[in-house]
Amino acid sequence: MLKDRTLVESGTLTDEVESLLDPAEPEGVFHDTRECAAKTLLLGALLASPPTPRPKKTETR
Amino acid sequence: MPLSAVVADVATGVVLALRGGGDPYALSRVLPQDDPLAPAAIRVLGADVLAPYALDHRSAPAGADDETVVRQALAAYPPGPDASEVSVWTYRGLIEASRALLPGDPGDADRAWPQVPRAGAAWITTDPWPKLAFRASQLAALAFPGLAPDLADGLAARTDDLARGFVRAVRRRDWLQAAGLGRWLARLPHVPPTLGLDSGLVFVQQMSDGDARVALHVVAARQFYGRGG
Repeated sequence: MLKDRTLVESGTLTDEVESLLDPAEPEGVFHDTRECAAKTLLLGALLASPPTPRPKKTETR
Repeated sequence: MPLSAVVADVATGVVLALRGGGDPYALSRVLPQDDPLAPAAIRVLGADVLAPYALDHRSAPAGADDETVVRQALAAYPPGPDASEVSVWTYRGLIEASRALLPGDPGDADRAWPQVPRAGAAWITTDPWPKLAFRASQLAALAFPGLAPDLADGLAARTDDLARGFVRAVRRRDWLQAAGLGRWLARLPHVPPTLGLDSGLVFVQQMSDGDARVALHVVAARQFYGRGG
């Protein structure tokens, strides 16, 4: 019984070692300056562009 | 005490030794005595636990006790079949550093160091820069002088990507990643001077709120490569 518990503890410690060696990268929001600048320019261009031409309504009687 | 706390304690001992404070360094003395976490802490810190032995005047000559505890760590925590690349690389690093800095005896089967396992290296050329930077930072203990020359050559070819990763890590306030990358950049030639590596490393250490592993990377960059103020 003691042996089993030792094995479990050893396995847990091995997992802990592996998780300390190779943890996941902490969450974070990263804004790439160039990407943000490109998106801002695109948004500006869309807002400044003239409205999309619509087909004129033609009355049919 | 959790393993992370033991790791931090041992890292603090290494930092003090690298800075030249206190008694001459002996690995077996900074480890908690008869603690099953001691080999695990060695495995986590890897080659860094032997760093003071590379600075002759900061340590006593490595002895049999140090060799024994490192052997215990290598025997207890080898990378398994599903181990990550980082696990294999750090294991290699600890073996290489042990061969260079601990007594051992290649002619004696009982005192020879384990064979160095093969570690994948494709990621060095194929990983996108954020992933490469994070992985390199996890391998910062291998930025030890003379260790893992192939890895260092591969990373040197991606110096700009590591520099971008350093800036990214600082902006994310990921101080451990930033310190690890800064340590690699300290070793590599051709780091862009516009990066401000020296002041960046000082800043990272100040912002890390006394994190021992961050301090270890920053002090190693300073002692071995003269970077970081």
